[in-house]
Amino acid sequence: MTAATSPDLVVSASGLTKHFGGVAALDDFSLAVADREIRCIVGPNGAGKSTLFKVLAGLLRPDAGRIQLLGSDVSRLNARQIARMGVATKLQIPRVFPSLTVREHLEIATRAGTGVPQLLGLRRRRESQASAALISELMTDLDLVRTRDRQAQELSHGQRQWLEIVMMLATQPRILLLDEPGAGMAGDEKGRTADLLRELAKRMAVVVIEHDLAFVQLIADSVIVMHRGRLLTQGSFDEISRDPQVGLVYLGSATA
Amino acid sequence: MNATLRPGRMSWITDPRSRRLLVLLALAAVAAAIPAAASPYAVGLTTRFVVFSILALSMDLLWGYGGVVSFGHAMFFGLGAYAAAITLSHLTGVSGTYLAFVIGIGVPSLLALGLGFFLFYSAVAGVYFGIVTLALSVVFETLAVVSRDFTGGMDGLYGFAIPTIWLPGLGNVEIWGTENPYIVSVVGLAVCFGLARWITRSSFGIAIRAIRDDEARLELLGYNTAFLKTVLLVITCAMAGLAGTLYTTVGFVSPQLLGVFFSTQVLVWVGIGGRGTLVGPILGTILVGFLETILSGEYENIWPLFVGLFFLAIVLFWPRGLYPFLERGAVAVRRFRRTPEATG
Ligand SMILES: Nc1ncnc2c1ncn2[C@@H]1O[C@H](COP(=O)(O)OP(=O)(O)OP(=O)(O)O)[C@@H](O)[C@H]1O
Ligand SMILES: [Mg+2]
Repeated sequence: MTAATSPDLVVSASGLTKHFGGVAALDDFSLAVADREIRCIVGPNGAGKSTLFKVLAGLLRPDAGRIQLLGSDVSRLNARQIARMGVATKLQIPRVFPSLTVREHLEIATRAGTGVPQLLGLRRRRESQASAALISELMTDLDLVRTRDRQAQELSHGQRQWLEIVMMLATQPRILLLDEPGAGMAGDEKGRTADLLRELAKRMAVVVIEHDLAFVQLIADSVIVMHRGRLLTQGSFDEISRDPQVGLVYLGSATA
Repeated sequence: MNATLRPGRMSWITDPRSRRLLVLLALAAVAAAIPAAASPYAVGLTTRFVVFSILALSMDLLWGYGGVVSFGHAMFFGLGAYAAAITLSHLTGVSGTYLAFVIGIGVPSLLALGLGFFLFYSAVAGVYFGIVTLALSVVFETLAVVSRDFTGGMDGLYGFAIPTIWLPGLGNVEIWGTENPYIVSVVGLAVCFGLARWITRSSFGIAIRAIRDDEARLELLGYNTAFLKTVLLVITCAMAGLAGTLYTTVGFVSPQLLGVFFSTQVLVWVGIGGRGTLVGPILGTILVGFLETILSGEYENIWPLFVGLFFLAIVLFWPRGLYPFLERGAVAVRRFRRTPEATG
C-alpha cells in the first residue's frame, strides 16, 4: 500500500493510527487519491471516517503514520498551514458563520491567507478570474444569488451546506474533503449536490464521506469501505455492493 | 426603492448618501452648539463622557465585533492616562505634548501586543482571557497606588504641564479650560469613529466577526486567527490609550482609572448602548454618564445600584442594547410614512 510514488497522487497517507483511550479509531489505515478523482468513503457509525479527515486536515495528530498532501509531507503542519496548501475541509457538522451574510462569507474566503494590509484594503490583492467565474456560476446554479445579503443563520439547512462548500471553493483548493455534505438534505437537494460534486471533480480531487449509498452511487468513481479504523475493501460501487463482507458489516449494522 | 422612485422636492432626504451627510452636519452643529449653550460645568462633564465614549468605542470593536471579552479594558485607558501624565510632568510645551500622545498610545499598545502573543497564541480564549485582564487590572491599580514617587499613589497625579498643540493659523493652543478640551475630544472621537467604521467595513472587520462566530472554522479556512485577534487588541488598546491621553486635559489622573470597577462600567456602557453597533456604545456612554452624575448627586452611595438595575432591565428587555432598538423604531416609522404613497 505504499503508493507515494505516483506523481499525480494528491493524497497519499499510509499507516495512519489513532487511538482514543482503548478505541482504535484509525488502525494502520492507508489512502491514496489522484487528482481530479472523486472518492467516497463509507462505513458504519464509529468506523473512523471523521477521524481520518481530522487527521488529514491537521486537526488531530495521528499516533503513527505518514501523510503526503500535494506531494509534500504535512506531518508537522497545523490545520491552517494545511488549509493554505490548498486543502479545504468540511467537517461533519456544517459550520458557517451565522451572523455573516453570504456575500461576506465569499469575501473572507477569497481573501484567506492574505495579510492584514490586504484585508484592510490598504494594499491590492490579486484576484483569480477563473475562481470568481466558478463561484458566480455555482451561486447561480444553487440559487444562492438571491440570498447574497442574507445572514447565514437565516438560510435553510441545505443552503448552509452549499454555502459552506462554495465558501471553501473561494479559497481555491486543490483537494476537497467533505464529511457528509448531503446530510439532512431533501431528495432533490441531494441530486443537485451530487451534480455539484461531479462538476467539481473535473477541477480538483474530491473525497466524500457519505452514509447514503444511493448518493454514493450517484457520485463515486471508486469507494472505500472502512470498518473499525481499517480498510475493509475498495473498488467501484458495483464491486463493493456485491461484496458479501460489506453487506455483513456495513448494511448489516446500518439496518440493525 | 428610494430617490428615483419618489419624485418631488423631498426625495433627496431619502437618498442614503445625502441623509448620512445631513446626519453628520446635524451632529456637527449640535457638537458646536454645546459649548455656547451649556454651562461650563456641563461642557466639562460632556468632555469627560466624550473621552470615555472613545474608550467604549474601542471596547465595542473588541467585544461587540471580535467577541473578545475583557474585564480590564479600562486598564489600557488608565495606562495611557498615566503614561501621558508622567510625560507631561517632565516635559512641557508642544513637543512634550506630542511625546505624551506617542507614549500614551504606545505603552498600552505594547502591553496589548505582549498579551496577544502570550495569550492568543497559546489559545487562552473566552473567559480565561477575561480573567487574565481582570487580574492584570488589579496588579496595575495596586502598582499605581504603591509606587507613590512615580504615580502619586492614592492621590494620583496632578499639576503636570498643560497639553499644548500647534495648529496652523492659531499657533500654540493650550488644551485647557472648558472649550478647548471639549473640541479636541470631539475631534478625537470623530477620528476614532471614522477609523472604527472603516475597520468594521473592511474584510478585516468581516474576519473579526467571523472569529466571534466560529474561530476554529475561520482557522480551517487558512486564517491566522491568533494574529488577527492580536492586531485587533493592539488597535483597540491604542484607541483606549488615545482616550487616556486625552483625559489628561482634565488635569488629574488617579488609580481608579486602571481599575476593575471602571472596566465594568465600560462594559455596561457598551451593553446598554448596543454592542456591535459603534454608535450605540457612544450613546450609551453619554446617556449612562449623565444618568450616573444625576443619580450620584441625589443618592450619594447607592447610585451604582440604580445603574446596575438599569443595566439588568436593558439586558432583559433589549438584550442587544438601546441602539438596535432605536434603529428598528426608525425603520418602522419610515415604513409607516411610506405606506400611504405605496398604496396610493
Ligand atoms: N475526540 C474523541 N474522543 C474520544 N473518542 C473519539 C473521539 N472522536 C472519535 N472517537 C471515537 O473514535 C471512533 C471513530 O469515530 P469517528 O467519528 O471517526 O467515526 P465515523 O466513522 O465518522 O462515524 P459516523 O458515521 O457516526 O460519523 C468512534 O468509536 C468514536 O467514539
Ligand atoms: Mg463521522
